[in-house]
Amino acid sequence: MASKPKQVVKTAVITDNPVLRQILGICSALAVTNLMLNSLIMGLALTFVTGFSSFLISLIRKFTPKHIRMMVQTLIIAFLVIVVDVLLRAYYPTMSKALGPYVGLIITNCIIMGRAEAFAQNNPPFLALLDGLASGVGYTLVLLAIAFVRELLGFGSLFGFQVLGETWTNWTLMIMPPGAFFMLGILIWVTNSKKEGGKA
Amino acid sequence: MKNKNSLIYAVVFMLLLTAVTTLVLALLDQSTRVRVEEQQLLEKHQAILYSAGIDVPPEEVDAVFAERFIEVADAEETYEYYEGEKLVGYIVPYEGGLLWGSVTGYVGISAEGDKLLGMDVVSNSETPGLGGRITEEWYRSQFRNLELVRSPYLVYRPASGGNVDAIAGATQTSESLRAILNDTLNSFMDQKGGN
Repeated sequence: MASKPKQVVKTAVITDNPVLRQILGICSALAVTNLMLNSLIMGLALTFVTGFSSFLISLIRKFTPKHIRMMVQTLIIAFLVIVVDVLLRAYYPTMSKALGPYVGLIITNCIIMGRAEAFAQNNPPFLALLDGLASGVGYTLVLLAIAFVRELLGFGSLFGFQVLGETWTNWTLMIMPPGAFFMLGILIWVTNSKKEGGKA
Repeated sequence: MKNKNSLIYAVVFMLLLTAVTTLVLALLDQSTRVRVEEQQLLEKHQAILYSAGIDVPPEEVDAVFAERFIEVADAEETYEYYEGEKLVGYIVPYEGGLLWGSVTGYVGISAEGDKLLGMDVVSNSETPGLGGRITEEWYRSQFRNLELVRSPYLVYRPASGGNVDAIAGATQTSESLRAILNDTLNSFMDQKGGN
């Protein structure tokens, strides 16, 4: 049992990475990854929502009637998403504007409901919290990896700091939707072929 | 414990959960209201400054606004823009319906009424990436220092006499916004001419 938390984290971040292995949360992974800062904030927001929704759902799982559990999950997820939205609007308005509708759409991110159904429903609160946070971290890492390439090639910058010189010609394609599809596809391909020893 | 599968239990459970979450949200909303309102006021001032063609860092916006803009007494939300003692232009609000919802913003018109100083959008609910692109710099900057010759003042290219570009893939939004802006300009010019 001692290794259980460790295993939960490893599974959620690496072995069963929500984006690369479960192909969940793709919509926002494509949409916000043209800037690293946006990706980071989106990742943190999702980590917060996934972690605490898993925690709360696990906390009340013994009292929740099975047949209305999805309604309960949705309510809790919606509640946390509104919390994030209000906090962003009050304390980080520029980011709130930059992410626009994607903050509200966190609620539709399948990773959250996926973790709630697959893990939080059947595990104690602490483990559920850990699993949710780790899944969020796994998602954030993938977003940052994609955004790293897209922002670097598309704007010549990282987190808004210009790193490639004046002579660099921006690859406009990278900051447009196709760039996201290419990067995500390549990343899934590379990681999966590594994992399967080239068989995938 | 009572039967968890009973209807009563499920209803009471949902009601309780909803009450608790709503209460927390209401408290959160209440405690951040002042900050959010301040932000909205700042955004409005930024839009007015942008419409006038003034570019200053966010922390100086309120000071510059207070120093150079005076609200016109008999017209709501309309401002006179001064550089020193000299009247440079007017900032006029516009609002109307676009494809999905209403839009609000400001246009800056020079004191002589011969050119636009600029145009900014304060709020809209158009599709991000399509109609929502009216808030992008390339679209808004087209209105900077645009000559106002005769009505209709704004015409999309490639029509003859065209002076601004519409947004590809967002024809309804572009057309509606153009109509709103032209109406705003017309009624402003009529008022000025009548004075």
